[in-house]
Amino acid sequence: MKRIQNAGLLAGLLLVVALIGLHAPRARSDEGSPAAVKPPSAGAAEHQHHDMGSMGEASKALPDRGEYKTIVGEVMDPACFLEAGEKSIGPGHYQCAVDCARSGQTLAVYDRVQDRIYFVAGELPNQNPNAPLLPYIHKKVDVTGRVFHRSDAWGIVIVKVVPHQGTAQPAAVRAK
Amino acid sequence: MRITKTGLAGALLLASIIGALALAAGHAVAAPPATGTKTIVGEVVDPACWIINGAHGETHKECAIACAKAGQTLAILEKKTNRLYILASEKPGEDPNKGVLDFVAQNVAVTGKVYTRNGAWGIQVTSIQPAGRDAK
Repeated sequence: MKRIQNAGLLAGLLLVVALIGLHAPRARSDEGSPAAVKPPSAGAAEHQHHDMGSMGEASKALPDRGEYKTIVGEVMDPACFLEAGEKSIGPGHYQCAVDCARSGQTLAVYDRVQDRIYFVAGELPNQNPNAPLLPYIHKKVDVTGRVFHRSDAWGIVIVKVVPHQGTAQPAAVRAK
Repeated sequence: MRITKTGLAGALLLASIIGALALAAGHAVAAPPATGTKTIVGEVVDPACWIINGAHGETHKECAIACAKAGQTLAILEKKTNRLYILASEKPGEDPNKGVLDFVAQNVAVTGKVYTRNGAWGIQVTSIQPAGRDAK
């Protein structure tokens, strides 16, 4: 009888441990860490227009400075990409992407390795967020900046864009 | 305290079953995303401001309008799901913000074609109208 009690006690203990594990917060598996790099020290990547004073209803939250990193991906029009997929990054779609970008569609960077779309975020309210990417539409680039994630969407405040090694050299881009 | 082999085996079996159930719950197959034409209710936001620091609402309206006028595509932050729908124009050369800019920071009901890919969502707006502040 005592043996049964001991076994029951142990089973109960394991049950409690398992239930605690069941309710423990899960680690986020989608926090990829492509090529994390050291942020600039002089505040070059500061997103000045998103300071605490202009955060509206989120002003009570602590500022999230994002993760400073370099992502490798193709510059594309997210509107067409969401509708048509990877074929919208093909050469036959180039002019469509240019026209969309010029008419107000913010470009994005598609990271094939992580299968992730990074929406581009402007650094200042009156700056066109597409400016650093326009010379690279449908080209593979290394984009360095601050990466943010909210509501299942990814965004990057661009600090620097360079052509990915091995791709054709596009026209020089003006650094923001 | 003596623990018999039978008791220990039973306890381990029980723990394994619970662990397997926990694992199954974590990897439950998600329902396929609902695409096609639908109506969503949410706030018109500047996705850059929202993704970066969660900024939205009336007090952030002017900044969002300035961003949109500079070339930032707006988005709908769905109230029910907290999901961000990036606006998409139907044809190249069309401004995706057209007709939506007047509703920045407002709660609206938007109807249009919804697309999703790689975890991101977009909507081609066909109609937009104000919704009640608490509408979902």
